[in-house]
Amino acid sequence: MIALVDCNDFYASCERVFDPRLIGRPVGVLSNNDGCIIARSAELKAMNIEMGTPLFQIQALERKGCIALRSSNYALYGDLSARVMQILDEFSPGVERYSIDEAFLDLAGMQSPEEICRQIVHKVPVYTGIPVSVGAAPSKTLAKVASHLAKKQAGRKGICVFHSANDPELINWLNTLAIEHIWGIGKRLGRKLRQHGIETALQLREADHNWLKRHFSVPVKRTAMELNGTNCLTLDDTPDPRQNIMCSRSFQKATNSLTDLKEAIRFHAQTACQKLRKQNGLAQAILVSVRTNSHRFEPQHKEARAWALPVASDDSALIIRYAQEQLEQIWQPGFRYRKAGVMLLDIIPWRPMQLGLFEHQQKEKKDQEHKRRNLMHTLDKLNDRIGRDAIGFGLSREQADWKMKMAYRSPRYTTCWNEIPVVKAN
Amino acid sequence: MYSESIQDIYQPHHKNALSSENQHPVSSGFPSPADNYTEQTLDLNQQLIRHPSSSFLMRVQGDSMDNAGIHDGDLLVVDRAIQPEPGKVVIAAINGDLTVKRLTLYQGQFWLTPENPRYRPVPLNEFNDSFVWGVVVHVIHSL
Repeated sequence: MIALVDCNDFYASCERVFDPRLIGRPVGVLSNNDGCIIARSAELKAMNIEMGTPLFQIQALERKGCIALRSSNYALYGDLSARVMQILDEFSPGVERYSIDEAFLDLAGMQSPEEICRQIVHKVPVYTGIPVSVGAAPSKTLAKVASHLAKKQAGRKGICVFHSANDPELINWLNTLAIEHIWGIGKRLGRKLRQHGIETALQLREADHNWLKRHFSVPVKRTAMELNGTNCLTLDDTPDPRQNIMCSRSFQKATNSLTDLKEAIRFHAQTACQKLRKQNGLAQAILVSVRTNSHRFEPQHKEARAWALPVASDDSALIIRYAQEQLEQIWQPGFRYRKAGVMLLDIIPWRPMQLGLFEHQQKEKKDQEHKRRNLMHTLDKLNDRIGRDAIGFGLSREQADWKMKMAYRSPRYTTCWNEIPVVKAN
Repeated sequence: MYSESIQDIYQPHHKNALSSENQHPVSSGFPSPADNYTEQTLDLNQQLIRHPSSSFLMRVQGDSMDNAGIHDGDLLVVDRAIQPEPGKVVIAAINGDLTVKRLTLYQGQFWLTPENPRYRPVPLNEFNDSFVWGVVVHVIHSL
């Protein structure tokens, strides 16, 4: 059995922990520089305010007090995320962080998955203030389906467990689940599958797997097997989380060398950035993680830290530099690290820089932008060839930080002495 | 700022965990004089924080808890894992504000009670959107 634990409306929930006024109110979290909505509470979703809505369209609602807005506060989200993961570690020796607010738990051999799920759904919010839901099933892909049901169907109280891939309720649901909504399939593949008459998750899993492999790809075949209840995805080949790109890999040999780890982080950050540019996205923040080998009897260290980028960016040099700085903060001497990873968070569609009023200015800016993108392309190639030290350019951190617009930022309640919550004695 | 992050505070074991040069398993011969020093670093986290994932630090503002030894500017260690019970000092949200009070039970009703005669108890109920946020386990007071 595999369980997927998912924090409900994670960013909005984090904002609510220390600001009870936000409980029950529509809450939106803004991208870097307060550009657009990147996370919503259930109440905001119910108002049909979509992801990506620019700030100016909803500023009036905020001023009238109809909705609450917050600038993204990655220091807070990263800390609460680490706490949630730490609690999950108590429930299973096999916890794999899947995104800032999701993790897979290996429940193999555990007596009652339902009971474990119930305990998780109870304990995480008591300890951290963050509500979670859990879906459990024989494979990761089915756990993903179960987790969706756990969240959407109110009667389930945040828990959905399918012991078998042949559970009638599950089959019913797979029959209505459109092909492109399956984890790892997406629009483009979905269209191709539809051309062959495969329109639902149930049809995919009943299709001839070898035919799928021949006509499509190994991943599609794997997805079909997963839907049949065969657990065949390792974390390294799971599809990227929504709006995130993840690159991580285990080392051949565990290492404590900061140089080795930096090299790995550089490599992962670069790969992630290439992916990002390919899908025409800009990342808002990064999450860097390291872990030791939990299957070995030796001192364990597992840590991850999220950090906002000064601007939404696809710039490898900037992202590598930030990722390596984060690594230096979480690396500890004396541990043999087995795995390091970089995650790009809250990806928004690429958009050109603000254009000037006059045409010649526009042209100039466009040229600049074009040059910059060419440079990135060249940089990728160069870095691939030279390796090691990435060629750095762009704003220095000191310059960048004050430029970031964060008109609605909540305090960094848990990571900064000057900003810890104040409690009134009155 | 980094050195002050909660993660640094909360994870005391890491730095000492595999300092293999400090471990002298079943040493024969003379004990190393350095052993005495390695044992002398006391970590306040071990004393103050039982559950790292559910513990938070907060700053007090005001004098309503003076008689409980909690003063303006004090630092509180709050643990959400502890079950709130009458008699315990708690962090309670009242009308959206986080406050520090003593939880009391009087005539079948829970109250959030200050420890200073100049302030009045507040009932714990839905009319003032009040709920217990966490239990205060330590006060750190500077002299």
